[in-house]
Amino acid sequence: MVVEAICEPATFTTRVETTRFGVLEIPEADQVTLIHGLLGFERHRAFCFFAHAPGSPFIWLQSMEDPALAFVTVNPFDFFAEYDIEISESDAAEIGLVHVRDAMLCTLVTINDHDVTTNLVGPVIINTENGRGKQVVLTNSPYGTRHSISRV
Amino acid sequence: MFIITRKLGETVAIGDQVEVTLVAVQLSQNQVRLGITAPRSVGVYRKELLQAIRSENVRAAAPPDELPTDLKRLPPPAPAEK
Repeated sequence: MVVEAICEPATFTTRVETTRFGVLEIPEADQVTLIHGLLGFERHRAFCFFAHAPGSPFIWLQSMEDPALAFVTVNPFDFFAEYDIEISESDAAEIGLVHVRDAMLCTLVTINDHDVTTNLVGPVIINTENGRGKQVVLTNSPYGTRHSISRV
Repeated sequence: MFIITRKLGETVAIGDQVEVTLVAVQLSQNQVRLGITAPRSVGVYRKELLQAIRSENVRAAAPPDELPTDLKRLPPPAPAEK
């Protein structure tokens, strides 16, 4: 007798262990591969995204390999409407980015003692079509690593 | 590490595709200008920029569990040091 296959769920999720949030079920669409990791964290490639809380501008970038490794990020345009970057052809090619509409941008946040800053010169760009991303280094840009977002 | 002496206008070839040319020397400024030819796939960066991003990533990697829910309630940034 043949047992009928059970219908697959519409979305696949992955169990991700975290030290901050316990075990999370992360949909495939929210998983990304940072092809070179992040500067200083080159060995960590598999990450996932999830919102901090409803209405919060903060989005966690959590390692799927190291439960303790997580970054806070924001959409830089939420704070700096004038922010503009030029994605180099080689960066776009590396993550297979063809259409700008497929690009998702986030910048890493540092929670300091007295303010909160974000790094506009090293944004993370992700191709939402294939989940590949990288931290790009903006050369000849006016931006730095610590732009305050705590008084915006 | 190679240490090579070059005169103004002379070039160092690194592999088949990378060339570094000494295009200007400003002794009074204690600096030189380099012209670099490399394939698009080769990243060319000022090293201190990479180091600044790396160290900021390390600082960002240890966020508190409780994030400020209302950014406006945070104290204003400390004045920039001169």
